[in-house]
Amino acid sequence: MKLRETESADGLKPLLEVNELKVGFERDGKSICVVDGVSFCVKRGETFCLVGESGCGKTVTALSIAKLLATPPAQWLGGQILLNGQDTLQMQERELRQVRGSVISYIFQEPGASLNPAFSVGSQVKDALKLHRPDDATDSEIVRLLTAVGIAAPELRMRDCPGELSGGMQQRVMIAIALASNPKLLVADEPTTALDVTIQAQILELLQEIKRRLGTTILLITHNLAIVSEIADHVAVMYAGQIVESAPAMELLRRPLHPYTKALIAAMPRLGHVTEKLIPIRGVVPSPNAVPSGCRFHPRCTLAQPDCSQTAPELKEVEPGHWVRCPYWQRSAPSEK
Amino acid sequence: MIRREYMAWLIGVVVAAILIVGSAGVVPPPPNTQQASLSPSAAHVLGTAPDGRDMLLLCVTAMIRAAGESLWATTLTVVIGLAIGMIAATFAGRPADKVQGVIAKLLDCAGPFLLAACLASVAPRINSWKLAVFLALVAWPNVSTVVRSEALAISRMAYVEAARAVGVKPLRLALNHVLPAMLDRLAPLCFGLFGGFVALYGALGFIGVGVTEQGLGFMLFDAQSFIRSVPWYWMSCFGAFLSLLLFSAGMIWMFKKLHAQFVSADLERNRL
Repeated sequence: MKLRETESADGLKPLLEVNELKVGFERDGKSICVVDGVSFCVKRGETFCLVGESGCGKTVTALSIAKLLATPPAQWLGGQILLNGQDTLQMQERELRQVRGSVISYIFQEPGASLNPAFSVGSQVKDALKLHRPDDATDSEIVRLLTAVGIAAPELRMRDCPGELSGGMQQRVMIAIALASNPKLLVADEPTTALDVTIQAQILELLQEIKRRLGTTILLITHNLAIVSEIADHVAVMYAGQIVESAPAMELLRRPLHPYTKALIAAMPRLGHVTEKLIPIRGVVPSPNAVPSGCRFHPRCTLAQPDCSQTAPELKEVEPGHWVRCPYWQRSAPSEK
Repeated sequence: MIRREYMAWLIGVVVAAILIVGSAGVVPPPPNTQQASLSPSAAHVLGTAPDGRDMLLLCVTAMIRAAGESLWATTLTVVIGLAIGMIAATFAGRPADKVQGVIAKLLDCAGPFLLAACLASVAPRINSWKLAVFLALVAWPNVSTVVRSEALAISRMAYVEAARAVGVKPLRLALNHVLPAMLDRLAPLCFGLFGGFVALYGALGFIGVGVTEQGLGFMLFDAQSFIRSVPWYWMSCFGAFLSLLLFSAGMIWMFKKLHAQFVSADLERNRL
C-alpha cells in the first residue's frame, strides 16, 4: 500500500519509502510483532513526523531504516524499506555501513548518553568525519561544524568531554556529528525529550535551520503534538505498531479524523485554554504480545462498535492525502457532541 | 599518532612490560658458605640462609620474580579471555558463541584436572614463564565470561548505538567504545587473577612444578624445616583469633546500629 504518491511534482522519487514493514522481537522462542504493516513515504526536503505514545513502535520503525536493531532479538518479518532507491533490509552489513552516516544519520533522545564519555567531543566529531569525509577530518572543519550548530567558543569546547557540557550543548554536538557526513536523511528520535523547554525551542529552531540551509530531509519521532505543529510538513500517527492516520501536518492537526488522534489532541494541554478540561484516553496501550483482536484501539475508543473487535480495519484514503484506519471516522465521539 | 585518551593505558602497558622483562633478569645473590645461617644484624637485616645468602635480598628477589611471573600469566590470560569474550559477544547467540560457552563451562569444571594432566606430562622440562601459558589456557574463561557479558551490556548503550548509526566498523567500535568502558570492570578482575597466580605459583613451586630457585614456593619448601623448628604457625593462630575478634565486634556494632534504626522507624510510624 502506498500512502502517498511515489513521485513528487519535480519528478524525483521520495527519499524514503517504507512499505508494509513488519518487525518482531523473539521472546521465549516466539516472535512478537511490534511493528505491523507500517507504510509511509518521506519526500526529499520535507519534515515527516511519526507520532504516538511510548511503545507504539516509532523508534523500532526508525531504527529499522538503517537496520540498527540488535538481531537477535529483533527480526524483520516482512516489508521493504527503500532509502534513496535501495532496499536497506536486503543489504549486507558492509553496504549498510556505507549508508549509515552518508545517507542517513540519527539524533537520539538522550544526548548525554549518546556521546562517549571517555572522549572529547572534538575527537567524536573527527571520528565521524574520518569515516565519510577523511580529507576534511581537520580541526578547522570540526570548528566549522560546531559553529554551524550554534556552539560558542568551539575551539575550546571541542577539547571538552561530554560531561562538561550542558544538555543542550550535548544535543548540538550530536547534531554536528550527524551532519558531519552530509546525510540526506536526518532521523531525530525525540531529540528534545530530555531537554528543558527553552532548549527544546532552540534545538527545533536549529533543525529547521538545517532543513532550510542544507535541504536535509528530516524524519522526526515524537510524542509531542506541539512539536509537530511547530516543525512538521507531514504526519503519521502510530498506535500499537500500526499507522492509524496519516495526513499533511496542518490538515491533521486542524481536522483529525481517527478517534485516537482526536483523543491525543484532546489530551494535550494548550496555553490560553486554562479553563478547558483535559480529557485523558482511558485504558493503557496494549502490550505487543496481547494485542486486541479487530481494531487495536477499540478497547479505548469512545466510538467503538460491536464489529470493531471482530474486523481489523484497513488504512484508507478518506480525503486526498488523508489516510485513516477507522471505518467510523465520520462519527463524532459523545464528548464532541 | 596515539590518541590522548589512550596514553594512560599505553603507559600502564609499558610499565607492565618493563616489570615482566625486568623481573626475568633478577637473580639472587650467589651463595657464600662463610656467612651461613647468620643471625639478623645491621649488614643482614633478616640474617642469612644456610647457604650464606642474604635473607632480605632473597625475599625481595622472590617477590619481584613472583610479581613478574604472575603479571605475565595475568597478561596472557587477559589477552586470551578478552579476545574470546569479544568474539563471543560479537556472535552472541550464534554457534561460535555457543561453542565458547561450552568450552568455558568445561574448563570451569575440569580446568584444574586438565592443568594437572598437562603439568604432569611436561613438569620436568617446564619453567615458570612457560607455565604461565598453561595457566592462561586454563584460566581464560574467568575473563571471557565477564568480557562477553560486559561487551553485550555496553554494546546496547546509547553511545555505542549512536556510533553504529554513524557507520563505525565493528573493530573500531570494539576498540574505541566497548573496550574503554569495560576496563574499569576488568581492572578488579585482573588484580584478583594476579593475586591468585602469585598464590598458585607459590603452591606449584612448593611441589616442584615450574620451580625457579628464586620463587616463593621454592623458598617455602626450603624453609620447611626452619618453620617446623620454631612454632611460627602459632602466630597464624593468633592472627586468626584477632581477625575473628574484630569480625565479631564489627557484626555486633552493625546489629546494634540496625536495631536502633528499626526502633526509631517504629517510633516514627507510631507517632504518625
